[in-house]
Amino acid sequence: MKNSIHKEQFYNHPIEEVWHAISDEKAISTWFITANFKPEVGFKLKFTHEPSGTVVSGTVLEVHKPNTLVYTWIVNDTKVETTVKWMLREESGGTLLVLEHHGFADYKDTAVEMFESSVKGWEACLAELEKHLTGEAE
Amino acid sequence: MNRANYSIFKAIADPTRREIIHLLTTGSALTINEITNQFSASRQAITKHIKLLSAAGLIYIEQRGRQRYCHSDVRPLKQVHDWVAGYEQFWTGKLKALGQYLDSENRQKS
Repeated sequence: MKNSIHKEQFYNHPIEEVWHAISDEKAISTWFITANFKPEVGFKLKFTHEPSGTVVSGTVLEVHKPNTLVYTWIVNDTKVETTVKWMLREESGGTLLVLEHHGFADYKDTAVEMFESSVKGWEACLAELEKHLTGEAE
Repeated sequence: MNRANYSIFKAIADPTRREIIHLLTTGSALTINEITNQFSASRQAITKHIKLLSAAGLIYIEQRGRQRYCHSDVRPLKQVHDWVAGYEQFWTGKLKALGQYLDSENRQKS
């Protein structure tokens, strides 16, 4: 079972443009989410998803223009801190963007270990769960 | 991304709570006293854990005569799966939107 999301996407645009799109408050608000954002380590960001009223807050952790941008991501008042990491790499004809969203990786011993634990009994219970999930997916 | 989805993460983030679920999933239903006997924590602490697990829907309590029995229910763990699935979709959509944004920016310049 995965505990994080990894996405790769190639854009045929120069790295500076992609960097601007992911780090500039106005640009972020245009394509992503209404943002209160500055690419400065320690900045307390606020993203507002207006249709649902969801507010994401977090702190900028890393800024290495134009390659790396990392911030924490906390939805509403859930106190569940996840981390979003944007990585850009210049490639011929454009930019490769790698996005990682670490879910509950911050809980060192979490759900994931629980899921993966081979402790007797869990196996059977997970088989049940799996059936439930696949049934659900169909 | 609603709030309810997160109570499950909170519930399973604690090792004692995971052991309680494990205990109930591998064996039969137990009373709070029987559960407490298996841990070094106080009855009060275990009761608190059970309340949290119950709020997350991982445990339900059955009244049998004078005794209350705790049963486990792992179905809410599906939410952990859904969290990942939900964000997968969210980011796929957003990265596509970023592409459209970059393309439209380019058009404006040329």
